[in-house]
Amino acid sequence: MTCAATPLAVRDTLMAVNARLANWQAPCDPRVEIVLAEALNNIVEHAYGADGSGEICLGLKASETMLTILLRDKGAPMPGGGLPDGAFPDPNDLPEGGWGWALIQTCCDSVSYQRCNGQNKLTLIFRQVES
Amino acid sequence: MELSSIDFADCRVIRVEAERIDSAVAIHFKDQMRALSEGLAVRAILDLGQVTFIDSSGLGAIVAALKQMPAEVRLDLANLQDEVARVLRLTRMDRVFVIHDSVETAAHAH
Repeated sequence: MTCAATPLAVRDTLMAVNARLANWQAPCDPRVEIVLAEALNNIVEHAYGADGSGEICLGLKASETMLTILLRDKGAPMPGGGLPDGAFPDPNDLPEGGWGWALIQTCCDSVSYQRCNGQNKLTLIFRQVES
Repeated sequence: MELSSIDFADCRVIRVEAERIDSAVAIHFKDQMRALSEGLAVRAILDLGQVTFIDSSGLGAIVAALKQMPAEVRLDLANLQDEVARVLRLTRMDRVFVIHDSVETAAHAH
């Protein structure tokens, strides 16, 4: 599955992933959509930037107990070479953003990032806690 | 994405006529909210009953809408679906807004 690096393509991809997971009868996990949305938006906005010409590859692997999502892109590497710290901004500051990584890290059971051969690889793992 | 609005004696109910407030529509949402809140002298209630999903761009646009309200004029939220409520709770932005179960209770609350 591939996704063009634009906000509308991200939306279509999220809906396609929802449909595919429903088809697989993987246990419905509402965390998946927000995590995937934030991860894809980050790639669109930060790894590729504004021109919308990049492409993101998605791999989905589901078992009865676990869903693994692998995202690959050829955009800019993560600043600092690793995952940002996932602190939520202070609500009293009335932030208009900055929640993305915190949401990913809170809603995911495991997140890992690798940079190799000019590609970013982000692996998101959800363990099924309910049967 | 569209917003509709209905005026009552002491509030304006602004309804989001879309299922998603995401990065594809966040700027458009903010601009429409500005148009609907400019010069408003009564409380606004944002009816999110049709919205099944918001991402952090959508949440940021709602916060931006709050910040562009006229001075002393509130922006409340009403009718939140589960996933929208979850994002507000996780980000603790549920502390920033008055959140009502329904537009009816919002309109009667002060």
